[in-house]
Amino acid sequence: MKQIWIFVRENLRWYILIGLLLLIVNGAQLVMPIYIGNIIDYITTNNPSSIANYHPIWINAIYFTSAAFAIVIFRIIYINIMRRFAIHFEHTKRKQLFQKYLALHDSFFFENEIGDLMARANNDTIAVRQFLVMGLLSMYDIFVLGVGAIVIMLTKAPTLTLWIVLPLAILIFLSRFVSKRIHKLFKRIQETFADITTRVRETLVGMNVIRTFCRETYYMNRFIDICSSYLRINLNLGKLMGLFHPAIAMVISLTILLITIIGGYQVMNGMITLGTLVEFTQYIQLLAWPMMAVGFVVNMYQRASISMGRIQEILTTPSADAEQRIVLKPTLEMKTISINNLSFSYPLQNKEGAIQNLSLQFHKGESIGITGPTGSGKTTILSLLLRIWDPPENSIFVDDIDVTHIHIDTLRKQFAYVPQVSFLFSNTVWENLKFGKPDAQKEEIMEAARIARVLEDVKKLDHGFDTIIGERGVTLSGGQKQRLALARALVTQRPFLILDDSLSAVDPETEEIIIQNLKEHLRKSGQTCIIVSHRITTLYWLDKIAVIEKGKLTEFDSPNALIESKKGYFYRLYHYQYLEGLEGLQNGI
Amino acid sequence: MEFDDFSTHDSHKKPSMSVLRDLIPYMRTVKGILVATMIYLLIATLTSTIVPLLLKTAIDDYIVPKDFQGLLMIGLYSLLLVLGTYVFQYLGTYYSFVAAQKIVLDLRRDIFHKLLTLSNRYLGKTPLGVIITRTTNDTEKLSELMSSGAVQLINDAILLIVTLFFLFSTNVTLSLYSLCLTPLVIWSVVFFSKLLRKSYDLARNKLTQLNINLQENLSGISIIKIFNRQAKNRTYFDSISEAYGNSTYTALKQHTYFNQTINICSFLSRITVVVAGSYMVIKGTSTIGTLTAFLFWVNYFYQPLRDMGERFNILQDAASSMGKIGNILHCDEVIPDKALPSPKPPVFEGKIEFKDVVFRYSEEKEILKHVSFTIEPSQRIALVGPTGAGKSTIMNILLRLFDIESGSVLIDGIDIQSIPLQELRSNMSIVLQDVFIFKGTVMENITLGQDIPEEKIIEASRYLNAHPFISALSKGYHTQLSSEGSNLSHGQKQLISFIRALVHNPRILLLDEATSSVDTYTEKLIQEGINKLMQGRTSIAIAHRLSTITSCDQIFVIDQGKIIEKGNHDELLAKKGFYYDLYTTQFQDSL
Repeated sequence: MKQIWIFVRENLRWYILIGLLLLIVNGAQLVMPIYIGNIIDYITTNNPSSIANYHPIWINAIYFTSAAFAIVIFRIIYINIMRRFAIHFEHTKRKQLFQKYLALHDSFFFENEIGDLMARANNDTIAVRQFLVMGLLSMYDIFVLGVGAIVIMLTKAPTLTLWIVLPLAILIFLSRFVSKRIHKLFKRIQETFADITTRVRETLVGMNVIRTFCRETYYMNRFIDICSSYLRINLNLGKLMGLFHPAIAMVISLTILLITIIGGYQVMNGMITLGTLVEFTQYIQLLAWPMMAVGFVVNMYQRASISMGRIQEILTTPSADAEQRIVLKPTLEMKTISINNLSFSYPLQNKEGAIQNLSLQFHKGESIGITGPTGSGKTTILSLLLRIWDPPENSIFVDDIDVTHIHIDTLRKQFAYVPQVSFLFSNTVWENLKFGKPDAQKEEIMEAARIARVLEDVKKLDHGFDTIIGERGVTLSGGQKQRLALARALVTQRPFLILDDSLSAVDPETEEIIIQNLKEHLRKSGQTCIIVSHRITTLYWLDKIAVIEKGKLTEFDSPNALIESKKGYFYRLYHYQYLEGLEGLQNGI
Repeated sequence: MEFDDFSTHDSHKKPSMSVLRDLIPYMRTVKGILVATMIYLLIATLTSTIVPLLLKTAIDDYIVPKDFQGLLMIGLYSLLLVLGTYVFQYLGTYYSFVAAQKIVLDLRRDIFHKLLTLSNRYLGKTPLGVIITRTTNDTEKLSELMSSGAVQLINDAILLIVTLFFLFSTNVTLSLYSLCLTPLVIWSVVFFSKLLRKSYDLARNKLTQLNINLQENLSGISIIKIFNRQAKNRTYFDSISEAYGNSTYTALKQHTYFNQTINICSFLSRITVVVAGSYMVIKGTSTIGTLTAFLFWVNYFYQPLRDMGERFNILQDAASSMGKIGNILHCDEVIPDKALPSPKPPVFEGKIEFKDVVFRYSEEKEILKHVSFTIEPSQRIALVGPTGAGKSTIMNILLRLFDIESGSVLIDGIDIQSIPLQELRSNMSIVLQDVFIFKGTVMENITLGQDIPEEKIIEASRYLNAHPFISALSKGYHTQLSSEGSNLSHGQKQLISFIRALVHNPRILLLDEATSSVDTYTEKLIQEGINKLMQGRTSIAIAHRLSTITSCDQIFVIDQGKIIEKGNHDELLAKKGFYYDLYTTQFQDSL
């Protein structure tokens, strides 16, 4: 919340101007009923039939009209100024949040849900903006309009004022109580609505699973369950709204009733004039708003300060680079990469570490294969090398520099990475391919697409390279996505290529061609290359193979040497996939 | 819900109100509630508009003549009226919610049910986001119509008529004076409601864009960082955020202009009432009480006018949403199905025949060209061939996820078109390369809500060597999985999908590249597991790695929609044809 007040203080001159305009508007609102009272008093205190001079009526009417125009014009001015500032503040905070998200460490995204991070950048910034307009205005109204009206009424008829203020005070408690609950219910409604969306989405994506297992009825019932609970929460809201909105009108009506009787009695006894009574009925409507506003403002303030807290929580989280004690931006030659006695375990993991005392060396221009059983830690090693997760100090070195000391951008610029699950953006094929190198030439992109054997596929799309892919565009097959991700990495021409089991959905014939292309490409470019795979056909041609089992390095040698040793994981792999096939061939002949 | 705002933003086209006819059957089910709501609101409107009349009587008949007794009496009547208004307003508001929510629930149920029967052809050509929006946001629009659109519109009309009645029956001349600004009010309502609708739509659209961009950036954050795209993506995000801010500002600004126009009209009407009223009081043609009552009635008159534009917008939105929902509800692209004759479907023997089957997904290209084959019960079959040859299509046809164009498919001698879908599919299970994980526990993902004993599941997962990794999860079989299954590796997901298929006890098992992400050793174990569990049952497998299929009873080699070779591994090798080439390249190239 401090941030908001600092913002107000920084723009104090403007806010003072707003305050002055508001003062005029509120003042005008306050004096308006007086003119009506004056007119009525003028015609009732004198004997109506004897009035010949209409001047006082017109003068009061002109005052009233001028006040009305002043209210409308000044209100438009100050509310627009306030909005400009509020929207600017909202935009600034959102911008800062986005910038922060991009700078935060990846482990942060492991611990925080995307939905929550989005809510901070949207719902929370909007809540703060609303406070900056509605909240501040209401606070001002409470003090100036509320207090002003009471003061004016007190000078005219002190007892009658009491009979207005007391019943209207109920509105304070009513609005506070109800707006809190309504807010809670709205939140639950939104959450349940999001659940409904998730269910429908899930059903549509998993439709074939549901169909082939004949589970339609089960998923139908699950859907009806959640829709029914949505109905129940909405009815609670209906009940609350039904009780609350008419209640405001009722309190106002009852107050009018009350002062008509008491005021009427006072008029009869000559304690006040009829004009004052009519004037007071107008003040009731004027005063109802600040009374309710007290309740709203308290809740709005609470909500905004929670939102502001959530925003600041992100903004004060240290960025990835801030954790580094030494930040170097060396010109990396990528001559050697050495992993030295590396151990690592994920947070919340209670078993033995994901990686245990692992040591490994690669040299420039080498092609290395990594293989091992499902879940043995292959991807983890790559994540540590790329610092998606931070390795412990003194365990991974590039050109003899500890990677935790290298500026994260400098480090990552060395790697062209093809992830296990290919994430493509909802954009054209073209934009996706030049993602890592925005200034890439057409020829470079075509060449990368050719190597990744995706050029023909792209040409077959309706709009070729300009086809939009992803959730809002054409759906691609798993193999096509993987090949595009490979092409995207190749376009960057970074010195170190990493393929994390990224050809698993490609059929063996296509894969064979890709590997031939890659071999040739690597020979020309001199890039270093790591390939993670289960397939012997993907691995046999590489310089060296590292086998990872249960987080430990169990084999590291050239493929031929590993096969000739006739034992170990790689040999078994070869045996299953190649030798048995060969036997099959021989038997067949 | 977020995606389709771009492509299907046709709300500016004037939808025909006639589509709202589709709502009638739904309204019929809550007829009683709707009628009651209308009556409650009518009573509440009447009682609330009477209050100023009582105020007038109080001033003219009792306060001015100084009759305190009478004043108290009228106070008592008013008290009853005020309390009555409250009760009826509460009932009216609450029951309008009940009606709206019930209608939406029924509508959602029907849409969802329809989705489950729509053909894959239809689902394939309709973007995911569009269908989601139909089920969620569009139905929500109708709830809004029922709770605050239609009901309130009628209520507002009543309020206007009743107020006009009171105004004119009390004093015609003063009524004409107080309503002289009405044309201006109506003009500004019409003018601004169109304008506001456009600018709010624009602002909402920008917010949607912002959300999509934000979500995509957060989902792909590590890719963005690895490819050093931070600066570029940030600039783009900033520009969307700024555009959103500007559009919001414009919309809110216009709203302020609208409100203040109405406000100035209301102020001017009030002072007109006072001045004209005073003249009439002086001339003796009106009273102070009338004047005071008019001040209130003028307010009552402006309120519904002010909301009128918004109400019509709701009505229009609802009509356009209902039109879109109707497109789904009336869509006839469903999979034809027969009713299940008995509650317990019979068990198949497992004989499969394709006779001269022709199939295409879209107009242009034939995927299967006159395919015929026979699979005997308990045979193990492999389908081999290049990508796009039509292997997966054969499985889709067997499961009737797609229906064929000509020819016939028989199981145990019966055409599958005449077998009830549930019977057909409950006899088969499929394991796909792309695994789908539902949000829920491992257990729920395996059983899919069916009653299957835990022992059976554990037994199957032991056979497939999946038990060790599942029991190592934080809560074993009861660990929650996210809908993307991001807490599992791809290979592990395939294993779960395997268990899912096996515990459902299929007579026919279909495997579509089911082990592509599993390491070789595990694949071997899976093979053995299937052999044990599928003893005496039919299975069809699509495999790229040919070494895994050498022991199959029959191998069908498929190329360009035709079966070009048939036979067991040895026979096919001896033929030295397509299969032989495929097989030898896979192994010769290796070393």
